[in-house]
Amino acid sequence: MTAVDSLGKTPSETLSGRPGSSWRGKVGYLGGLLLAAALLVAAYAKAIDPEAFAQQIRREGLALLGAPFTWAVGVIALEVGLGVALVLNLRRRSVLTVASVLVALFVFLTARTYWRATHGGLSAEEAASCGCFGNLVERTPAEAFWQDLLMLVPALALAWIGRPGLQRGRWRAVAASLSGLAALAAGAFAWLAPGLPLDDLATRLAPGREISALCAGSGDERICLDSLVPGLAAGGRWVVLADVRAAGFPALATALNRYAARASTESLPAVAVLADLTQEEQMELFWRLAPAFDLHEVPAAVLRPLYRQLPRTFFVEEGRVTRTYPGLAPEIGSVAAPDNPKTDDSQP
Amino acid sequence: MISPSRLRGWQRSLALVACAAVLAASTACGADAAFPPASASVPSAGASAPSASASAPSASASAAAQTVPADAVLRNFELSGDFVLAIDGKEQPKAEIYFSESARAYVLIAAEFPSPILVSAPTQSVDTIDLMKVSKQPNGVIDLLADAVFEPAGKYKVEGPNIEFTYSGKKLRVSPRPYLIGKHTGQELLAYNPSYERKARNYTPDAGIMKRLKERKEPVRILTFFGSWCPHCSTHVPLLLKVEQGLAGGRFQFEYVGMPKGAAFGDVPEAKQYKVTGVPTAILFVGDKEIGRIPNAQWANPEVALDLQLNGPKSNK
Repeated sequence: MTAVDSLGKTPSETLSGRPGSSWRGKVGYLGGLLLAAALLVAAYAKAIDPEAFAQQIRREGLALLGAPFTWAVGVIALEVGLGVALVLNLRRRSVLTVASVLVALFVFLTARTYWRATHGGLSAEEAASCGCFGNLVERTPAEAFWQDLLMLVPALALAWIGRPGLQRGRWRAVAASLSGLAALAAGAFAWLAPGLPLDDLATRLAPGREISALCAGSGDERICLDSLVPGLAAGGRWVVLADVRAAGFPALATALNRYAARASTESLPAVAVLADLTQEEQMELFWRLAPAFDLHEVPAAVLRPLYRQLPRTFFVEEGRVTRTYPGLAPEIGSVAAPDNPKTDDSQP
Repeated sequence: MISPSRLRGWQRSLALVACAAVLAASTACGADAAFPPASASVPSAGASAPSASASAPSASASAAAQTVPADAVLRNFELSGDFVLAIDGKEQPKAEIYFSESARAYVLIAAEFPSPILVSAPTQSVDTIDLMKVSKQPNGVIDLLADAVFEPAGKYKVEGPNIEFTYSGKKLRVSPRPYLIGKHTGQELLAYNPSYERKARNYTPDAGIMKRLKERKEPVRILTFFGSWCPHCSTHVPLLLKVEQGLAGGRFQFEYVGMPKGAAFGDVPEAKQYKVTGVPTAILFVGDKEIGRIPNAQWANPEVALDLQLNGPKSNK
């Protein structure tokens, strides 16, 4: 017969933090694992594109002090720290309290977005970035709310059951140290992530993806890149995702004009620019920059999940993405170089 | 379509050219003061030769137009509905504005000015062109002839989506056409923006589906919310206009509601009533009952979308 102490814990629990044979401990640990899995996956999705998460924090008005990016990195580190602690069954009151606050915040935010979506007043960009899984997972406001509610809250509730209250100080110290180290490592990774070549991992745009699968919205209002830019469905062409309001856009447009001038006379693939811009902005750009390339308006809801930083270039062949590049593709850059004698953006 | 005043302008120019031929283009045609001599030309990449007809003009300008080819770049100017022209603050509804994608330039033709005006975005410059060097094709497209010469009229100033410049002592402003707001017919949409008509003309709906739709006995009303400021509407609504043309005489009734941009969007009563949150949105009614909407993904072939809503997916197999 296994010895059980007054709190229902077996000796194995008290020594190592393992759940032991108590059903309460097992159920609680299972809840903790489920919550940990959700937190770690969410942290991963955000850590590879912390800028997007920082933008979300800015939109939600949560960065009361300090830069949104710093908050984003902090939250990612916290999620990883909590996740690792729960995996190690470090279900201390303090850990679960912080986890509860975090879960409550996530559910509140998704609920608020859901409410605004059903009552109007939600911008397309806000609708595009629903919940805590970054840009990797496409969810509607309703899906984000119900998934977070049904996934996080029951797991959290279970995690409170059968907490291993008699863990020895040494195990607690080891588990806490590991959690802390994991949090620090996650924070450092997130901090450095914008400079790492993770675009294909962090966004929905990667080699092999069909243009028709790059969509936003649901039901009748679902819209996909192939219908927004029908020309991408056939043949091969370069596509540059760009921010037309960025200070560097005129230089980019000049380079693309040079490329387009040469592409029109040689058998080079055409280039198109996709940007979230209004018709008025498009007209102003025409007068100022005379784009010789196709400039297409694509809603932020479709565009934002396709990049971490702008500009980003990809090549599409017969409706399928074959190559991606941060910035301008070298193939375009070399043709568009000002010292290339063959480039000429001469006037009509 | 060339207006009578334009025709008069052309006739005047023809007379002036004939006058120049007789008097060796020197001094006597003083009425032509607004027209610069050919020597002041600013040739384009494709119109580098001095104007032969200006220095030794033919008595028959139209004959010359037939022999001189169109400029390699300054060609294919199509009537545009994107902008309107104002002269000294007064809008010119009859002014014609043509756009060439390859030239990245507009040609403005207004009764107030005897010469067409070329507004070129790559150089941000304004030039006038001898009207006789503008050739109009039967399909309404205009080309500048390869020997056209250009008289510089300065640079334009950009103010948001508008440009301004001064020509012949008058202040010209090219601004985006005001949005089409409120209820309209398909004909009114086609008249609003010539590009709608072109896109409609270039679209061929599925003949089998159109036949099936036309055979429908029960009346259907299609209420389409669109924004004349919305690029996707400009792409897709003309396709529905073509479908409407094809279903003329059938049991289909098409109505269009032009939506304002921004916060006013939500204030449109019909949009509130039918919970329209984006454009284009086409709602199908049989009697007073809404039976469906054209999904965003099916706007590329609106007749297919209509058929799916009315006859179900089996009809398209």
